[in-house]
Amino acid sequence: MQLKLAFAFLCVAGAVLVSNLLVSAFVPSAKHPLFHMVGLACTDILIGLGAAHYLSRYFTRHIKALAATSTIISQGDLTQRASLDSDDEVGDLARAFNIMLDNLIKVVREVSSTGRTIFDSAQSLSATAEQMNASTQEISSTIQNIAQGAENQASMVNKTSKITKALASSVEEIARKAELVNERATESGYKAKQGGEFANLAMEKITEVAERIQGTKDAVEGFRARALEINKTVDFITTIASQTHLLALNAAIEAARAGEQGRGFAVVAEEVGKLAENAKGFADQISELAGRINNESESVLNSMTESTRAAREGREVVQEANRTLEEIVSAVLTTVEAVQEISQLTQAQTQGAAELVQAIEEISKIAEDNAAGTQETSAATQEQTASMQELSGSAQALARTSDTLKGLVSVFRI
Amino acid sequence: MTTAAAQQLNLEFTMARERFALDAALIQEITEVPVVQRVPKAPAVVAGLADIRGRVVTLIDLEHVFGVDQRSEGQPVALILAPPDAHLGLLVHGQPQVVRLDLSTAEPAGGLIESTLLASDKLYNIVSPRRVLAYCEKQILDVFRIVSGDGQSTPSGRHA
Repeated sequence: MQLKLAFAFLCVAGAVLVSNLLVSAFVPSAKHPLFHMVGLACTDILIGLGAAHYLSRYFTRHIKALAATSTIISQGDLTQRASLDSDDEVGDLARAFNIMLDNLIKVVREVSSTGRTIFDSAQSLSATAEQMNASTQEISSTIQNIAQGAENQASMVNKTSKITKALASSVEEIARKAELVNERATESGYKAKQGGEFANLAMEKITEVAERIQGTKDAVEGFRARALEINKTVDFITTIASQTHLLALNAAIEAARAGEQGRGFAVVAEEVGKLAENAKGFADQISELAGRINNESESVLNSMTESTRAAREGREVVQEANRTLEEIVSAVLTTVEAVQEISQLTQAQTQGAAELVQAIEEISKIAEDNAAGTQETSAATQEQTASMQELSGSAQALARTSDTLKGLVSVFRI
Repeated sequence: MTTAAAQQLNLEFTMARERFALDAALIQEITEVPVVQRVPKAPAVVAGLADIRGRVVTLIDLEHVFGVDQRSEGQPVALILAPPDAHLGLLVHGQPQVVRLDLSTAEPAGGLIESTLLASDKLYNIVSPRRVLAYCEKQILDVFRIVSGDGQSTPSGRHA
């Protein structure tokens, strides 16, 4: 370039010298100094203008080609290359330009491929994030359900705990009552046994009474027979007394008919009559007494028959009572056994209930912990959901960015 | 002594709660009558016939004679009248007693009762056997008259 410029300067200087000689030749400077001066100036300017024009044409030709290429490239077409027909600085520039283009192509290709990859990744990430979001939301709602369930469980367990405590206290009450029933039943059994012994004793006594009554009855029968005998005897006496009385009356009548002579006899007859009457009166009294004895004996006998019957019935009743008491004793024994079993069972139940209460309390604690944990999990899941949504948003933004990148890179033709 | 002399033996008996008395001198004996044979078509006052120690005695029912409504129960005794009426006996219920009565203060009465006497706060109806027998006789005659009037063929009726 410097060589070319030096050569061009020499060419211009020679042209100026030649032109000045010619002008000095044609136009004498002595006669026409003005014309001479003007002619010199004009030719020099012309030569100078011509040289400048040529030089500028010469230097801007390659630059223009490079600029044209650059213009095409600047529109994205990286397939263009600068022509390398000069070995000057412009040629160096073109070479460097080409190398730069190659490198740029590489970069664009790389960017394009990376952008695609990012886009794909962002797409899949977005999809995954969406899926994960959906899953997380599902998980979240499930966890909320679980939390709700856990709370319900905790409250149910609390309720169960209360009920179980009440149950345990009821069972203890039952155990106490069973113990009481056991004591009472044992006592009842003892009393019933005692009652049975008393009933046996009563039966013996009643039998004895019945025997005694029978003995007394025989005695009273004998008594009654004697009373009847007395009656017969008294009847006989009464008859005799009546007849004596009649005799006395007749004697008195005879005495009355005998008049004064029979007076003493009449007195005797009257006395005999009175005696007979007295005898009859006493006989009547005896008869009445005997009759009364007979009647009373009869009523006594009736009473005794009644008593014997009552005693027999009493014995039957007592036998029945004894049987009933024996049945009671056996029933009470059965009851005692059953109650003892109940007592044992309730004791075991009491222990079991206490253990159950303890277990339920533990369950209650666990359920409460569960509820708390689930709530925490729910909160975490909600946070995760938010993160996922953010992630999804980011992935979408990334996809959009990579799309933009692709759009940018697609400007280049390679 | 005068009162004692005035007193005479009487037989006392009761009938329908009333006290009756009869002069003992008019009675031959007092006896039981185990069997009394009823007389057909005889009036009610005739209780029947009885065998008293081999003698047939016609027994007169005093309760019927005195028109007692309530008949006494039990075995009656017969007061056999003294002769000449020893074939007649008066049937009385209850045990007769001997009583001494002063009949001087007795007040005369009508009908079958001879007199009434108040003695020792007791009222005695003194029976007149004569009037009783007359009443019975009239009854018997009436009956036989009726019988003969109906049949016109009873010889005994005509004879009576």
